[in-house]
Amino acid sequence: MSLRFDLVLESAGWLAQGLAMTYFVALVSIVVGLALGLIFATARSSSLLILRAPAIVYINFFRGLPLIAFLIWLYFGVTVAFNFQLSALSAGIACLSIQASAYLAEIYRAGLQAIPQAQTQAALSLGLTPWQAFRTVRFPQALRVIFPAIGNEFIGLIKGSALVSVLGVFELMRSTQQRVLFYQLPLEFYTTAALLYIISGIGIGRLFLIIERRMQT
Amino acid sequence: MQLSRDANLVGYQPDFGAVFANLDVILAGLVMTFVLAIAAMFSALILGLILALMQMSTWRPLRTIGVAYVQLFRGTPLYIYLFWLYYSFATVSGIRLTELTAGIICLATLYGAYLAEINRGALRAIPSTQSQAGLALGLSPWQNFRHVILPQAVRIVIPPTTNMFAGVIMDTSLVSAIGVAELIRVTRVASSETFRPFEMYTAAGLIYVVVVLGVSGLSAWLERRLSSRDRVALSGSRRLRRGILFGGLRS
Amino acid sequence: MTESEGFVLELRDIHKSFGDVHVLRGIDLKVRRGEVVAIIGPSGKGKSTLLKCIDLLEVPEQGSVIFMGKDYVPSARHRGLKLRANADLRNLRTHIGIVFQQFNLFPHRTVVQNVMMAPMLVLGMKETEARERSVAQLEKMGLQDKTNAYPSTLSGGQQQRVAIARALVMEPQLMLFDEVTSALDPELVGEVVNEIQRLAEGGMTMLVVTHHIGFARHSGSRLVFIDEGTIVEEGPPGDMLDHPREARTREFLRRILI
Repeated sequence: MSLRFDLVLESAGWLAQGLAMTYFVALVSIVVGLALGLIFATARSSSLLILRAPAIVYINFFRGLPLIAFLIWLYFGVTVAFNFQLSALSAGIACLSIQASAYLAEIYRAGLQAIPQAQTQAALSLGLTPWQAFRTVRFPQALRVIFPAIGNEFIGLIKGSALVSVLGVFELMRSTQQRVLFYQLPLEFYTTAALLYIISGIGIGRLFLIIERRMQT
Repeated sequence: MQLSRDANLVGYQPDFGAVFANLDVILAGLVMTFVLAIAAMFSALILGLILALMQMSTWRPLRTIGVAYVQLFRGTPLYIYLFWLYYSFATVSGIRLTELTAGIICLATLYGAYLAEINRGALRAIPSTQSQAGLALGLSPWQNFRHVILPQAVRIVIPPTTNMFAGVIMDTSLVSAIGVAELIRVTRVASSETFRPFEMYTAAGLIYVVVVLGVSGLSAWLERRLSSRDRVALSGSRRLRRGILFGGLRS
Repeated sequence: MTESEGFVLELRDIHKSFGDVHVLRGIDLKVRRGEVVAIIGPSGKGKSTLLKCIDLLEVPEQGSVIFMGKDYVPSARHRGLKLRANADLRNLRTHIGIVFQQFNLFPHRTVVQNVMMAPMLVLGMKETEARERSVAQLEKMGLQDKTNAYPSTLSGGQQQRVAIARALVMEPQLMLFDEVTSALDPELVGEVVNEIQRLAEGGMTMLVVTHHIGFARHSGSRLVFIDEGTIVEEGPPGDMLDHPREARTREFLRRILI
């Protein structure tokens, strides 16, 4: 048996296109997820039950729902029931963002809890308003604590975005599958794609580590 | 008359009767989900213990293999790994794996790496002074591991491991892609037959959420129970849970 | 086992380093049966390491630990092992009891299970016998109503007394105490010191690292001052505390007696 990695190389452009879409999907999802996650983390920590309860339900529900079940439910189920059009890409990004926001909400909460109450008290004693104290003292410190976790979440999104191929989004997984069908070379193409995912993960991990070090100095 | 006007307004009349009509199929899918999850978890538990001990071995080659394995698999997305194993294993070895076997192997080898990290963290969380105290009493290294270190580590490990089982259950849904008739697969088939995808997928989603939240609830309960007796285990498992949360175990 | 010239323990030229830090720089010490040797000196200057070296929880790079006439260091160093134990080391550790500053009770076992563990696993006693013996030991120390409690529910003083019981139940030839009252609240120090004092009066051979000068004066048969990894001065406690010969001893005593 001879390995035909030369054909993989010939498909480099094709795979690169898929990889670019993978990064795009993950990037948009982490940004939306971070924003949504902060809202739900705040609601989750609220003393008002009317805010806290829906946040708890949201966070737990989407942490317990497998991504693939969420994707097909939204794309093949909800669109039929409510009779509207949704592109595969928007559906994929919506699911990834919502799921990420549920995980990120818990990460935010852990980070905020890690900052001692005394920090807020010190800020308030200086005359800052509660919002100023949160924005300038508590939140920046929490962000520093959870930064590595955000990096992990981003890597998780890169990996998770492979599932969006189920809807037909032309990202790395989909482009690989199409080449596999075309050339009938599963070993070469899947190995290459797996390595691209692993290397992406390692690269992003490194990048976050470098930024983290910069932040500390 | 009243009803049909409402129906027009809503535009879609959900009919969950389709779900109940296919309850036997859905149940069979759920059973397959559990078969996958339990078989994978069982193998992963054994693998995870072996890998953790390898990583902590004083013999360097063994340690290197253990560390490399865990690093590699922690970075591998399950989805592509499934396709890689299922479609290319036959081309390399000539042996054709069944969908179920491929699914179990993928989940087990991947979660083995995750569990190894939990085990290693737990073993490291036991202060070395405990080991000193045991040896100072004259215990042999094995007795010390067996009676002093291991029981404390097990207590730390149980809640996050249970949590990991919830992850395995969720990840069995990916195995549908290579054709195992688990919950996702059967609901996809059933929804194309009944033309009721919304109802079918809603039901499937709810089943997952209930099962997964049940298992992670069990994990939280176990943590509270196990930690009520001694503070050392409590702080250890808290640290670990945070580690897992921050570790991001999504595949 | 025989004692060499009446010495239970003899240390010869013990050296121990951690990385670049030379913690012990040649310690020589002989301990007779029934002696209570109080060891004083500044914190972090090797006193705890010395006790761990005696039990070979740390293996000295150089020197001999001769216990009951047998040199244990070669066998420890031969295996190049730290925190490991071959039969020799187990033998040594079985006959030496050590009590740590941080108690180090096993949090997953009840008080009596903590005490029973070594008699069962090391001496091979049956469970009922080990339990009887352990309960008797705990009773002697006034801990009978705590036997089935978990360590975390006990006060620091009680935990430390359990740790002492756990060592004593093995009927050791030598007891090592490593600043056993340092982690305790002041009001709990008394009960632990009393326990050690009672042991001293009962004729137990002991090495006691302590900051408790009162204990050293009244219960110690000998006082040893260690600084910078060497024994600076040793002698009868009363003489040494009242008339230290060395300048460094005087300086140390002046500082802690203020």
